[in-house]
Amino acid sequence: MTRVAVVGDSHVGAIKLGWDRLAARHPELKIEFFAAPGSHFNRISMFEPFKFGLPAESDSGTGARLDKLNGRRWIDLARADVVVLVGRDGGFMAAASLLADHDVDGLPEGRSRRLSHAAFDTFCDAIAEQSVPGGPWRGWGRPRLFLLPRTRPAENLLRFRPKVMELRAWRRLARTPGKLGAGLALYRDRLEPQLAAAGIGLLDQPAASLSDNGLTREDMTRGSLRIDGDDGHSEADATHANAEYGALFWDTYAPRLAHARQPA
Amino acid sequence: MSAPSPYAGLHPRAYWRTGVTERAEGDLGELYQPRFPVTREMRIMTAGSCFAQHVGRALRRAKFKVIDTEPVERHIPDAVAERFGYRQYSARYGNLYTSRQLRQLLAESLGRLSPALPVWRRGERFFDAQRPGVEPEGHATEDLVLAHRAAHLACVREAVRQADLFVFTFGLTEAWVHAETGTVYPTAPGTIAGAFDPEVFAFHNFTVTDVLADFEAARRRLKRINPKMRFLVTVSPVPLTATATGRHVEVATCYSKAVLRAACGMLVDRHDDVDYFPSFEIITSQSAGGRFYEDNLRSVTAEGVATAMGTFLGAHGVDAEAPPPAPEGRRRSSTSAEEVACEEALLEAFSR
Repeated sequence: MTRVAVVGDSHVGAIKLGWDRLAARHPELKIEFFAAPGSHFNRISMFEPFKFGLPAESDSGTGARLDKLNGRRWIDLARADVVVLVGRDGGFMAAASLLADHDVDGLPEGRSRRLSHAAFDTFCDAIAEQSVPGGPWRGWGRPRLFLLPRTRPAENLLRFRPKVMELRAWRRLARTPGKLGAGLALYRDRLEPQLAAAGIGLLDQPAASLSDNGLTREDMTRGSLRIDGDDGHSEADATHANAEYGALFWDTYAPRLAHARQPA
Repeated sequence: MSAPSPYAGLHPRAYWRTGVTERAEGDLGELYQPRFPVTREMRIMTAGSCFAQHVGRALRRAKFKVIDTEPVERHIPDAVAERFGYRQYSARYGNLYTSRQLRQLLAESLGRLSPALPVWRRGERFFDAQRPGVEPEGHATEDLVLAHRAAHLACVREAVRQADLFVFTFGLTEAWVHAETGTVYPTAPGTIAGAFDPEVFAFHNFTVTDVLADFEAARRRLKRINPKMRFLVTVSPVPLTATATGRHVEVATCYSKAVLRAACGMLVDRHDDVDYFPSFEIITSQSAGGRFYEDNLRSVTAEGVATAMGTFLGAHGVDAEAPPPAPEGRRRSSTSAEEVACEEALLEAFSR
C-alpha cells in the first residue's frame, strides 16, 4: 500500500472527484486530500517540517475554512510515501505569455515579435527557477514529492473573452497550435531538470486531456465543481478541471505513484 | 559715471563661492533649471551610451511613460532581460555611443540607408554588427541576423512614432567606421565579434561640428515624424575605457567629454525644444570629491545615479527614491550600483 497525500488549492477538487470514481480500482493506493481554495491557500504554509496548513491553535477565517473542508487544519506530510502538490501553475502561464508575444527562432511562427532561441531558453530557465516550490518543499528524499501543474486553460476560452490578461495569451496561442505545443514542450524540458534538482518530480497534464489546438478539452472542464461546496464554476470558467479529468489523471498516474515509494 | 561690473548683483548660483563652495553637502542648489516640464503624460523614448540605461530605469521607476516597443514577459528578471538587450531602451538597439550612430539608426529604420557589413562573425556564430551585445551567443545563420534586424527596425519606427520626448545621452566621440562608406559601429571589430582589418575599418574621432551636425540631422528626421517632439540631452559622466588616439586616456576622455558638452550647449542655444540635464556636472563636480565613482574611478556608483536622477525628478516635481546607503568602511561602492550593459567596458580586457 502506498500512502499518497494530495495537497493544493481549488484544483485538488477535480483530482478528488476523479478518485471518488476510481478508488475501488486502486487498492494499492491510500489517498489523503488536503486543500484550501485560492486566497486561503496563499495563507497556509509548512509551519513545521512536513506539517502543512495552519497550527491547530490558530484563529482565523482560513482555519475555519480548513476545518470545514478537510476536518482539520494541517496535514503531516511525513506520514505519506508520496505527496502530490496540485494547483501551482509551474510557470506555464508566463511561458505561454512569452510565446504568445514572440515568434521563437525554429518554432512555427505566428505574427509576433522575433525572439532568438537562446533568449527563449534563458527566459524559460528564469521562469522555471521562479516556479520551483520554495525551500520547505525542496530536497525531501522521502516522501517523494511531485508537482502537478494546473491544467492548461480550456477550449471554452475561445467563446468567452477572459478578464484575466494572461488567459488572453492562450487564446492567441490557440490560433497557432504548432507553436503552442512546441514552445510549451521546450519550456517543460527546461522546468523538469530544475524541479529534479530540488528533488521534485513533474507530472505532466495527461496528453489525452488536450485538444488539437493545445488547450484543455472542454469535456475535461465542463461542469467542474467548486472545492468548497456543491456549486459549479461558471460556464465561462476555463481554468478548473472536472471529475472526468481527475479520473484520467488517476488512470495515467496511479501505477507511477504506487511505485514511487521506492527510492528514485 | 561708469556702470557697475556686469558681474555685480547676479544670482548666487552665478558665483563659484555661493554656487559651489558654500553649498551644503548633498545640496545641488539650482544646478538644473528645466527649460520645459517633463510630465508623466509624455511618452518618452530613451537612447544613448550605457549611462542612458540608468536614466531610463529611473524614469520607469518614477512611473514615467517610457516607451518599450520590444517588451518581454514581466516574469523575466531585469538582469536576465537586459543580458539580451531588453528593457534597456525604447527598442532593443543597445548602446548608441555616438550621435552618428543615432543618425544612422534612424536613417536605416526609415529605409534611407543600409549599413555596410551588417553581419559580423565569431567562430560559427553570426552577430548584428550594429548591436553585437544584444545576443551574447549570436545567431546560427546570417539570414537570422538580418531577419531579427528587420523586425527590430520596425520597432524603432514604432518607438519614434510614439515619442513626445526624446532623451539622448552622448557617450563617446571615438568610433570605428567602415572606411569606404562611413558606416559607424558601436564597437571596434574584433571586440565582441568581427575581425579587425585596417584596410576595411578606420578610426574616427568626431569633432564638435560632426556631433552637432549628426544630432541636428537626427532631430530634423524625428521632427518630420512628430513636429511637437522635444529633446533632453545629457553627457555621460563615464570616462573612456580606452582610447585609440594615442593620447593618454584621461586626456582623450577630457577631449571627448568637452566636445560632447560643447555640442549639447550649442544644441540648447540653437533649438528651443532641446534641454540639457547636467548629469555630467553632478557626477564630476568638485563638490562631490569623486565619491560618485566606484573604485575603478570610472563606473558611477548607485549613489551617484540616484543623486543625478533625484535632481532631475525633483526639478520636475516628482519624488525620487532615497539613494542607497554606501557600504560601511568604503568610500566608494562597487557592489550596490545596478549593472549596465556596456560593450565599451570590454576594451578593458585588452589592457591585460
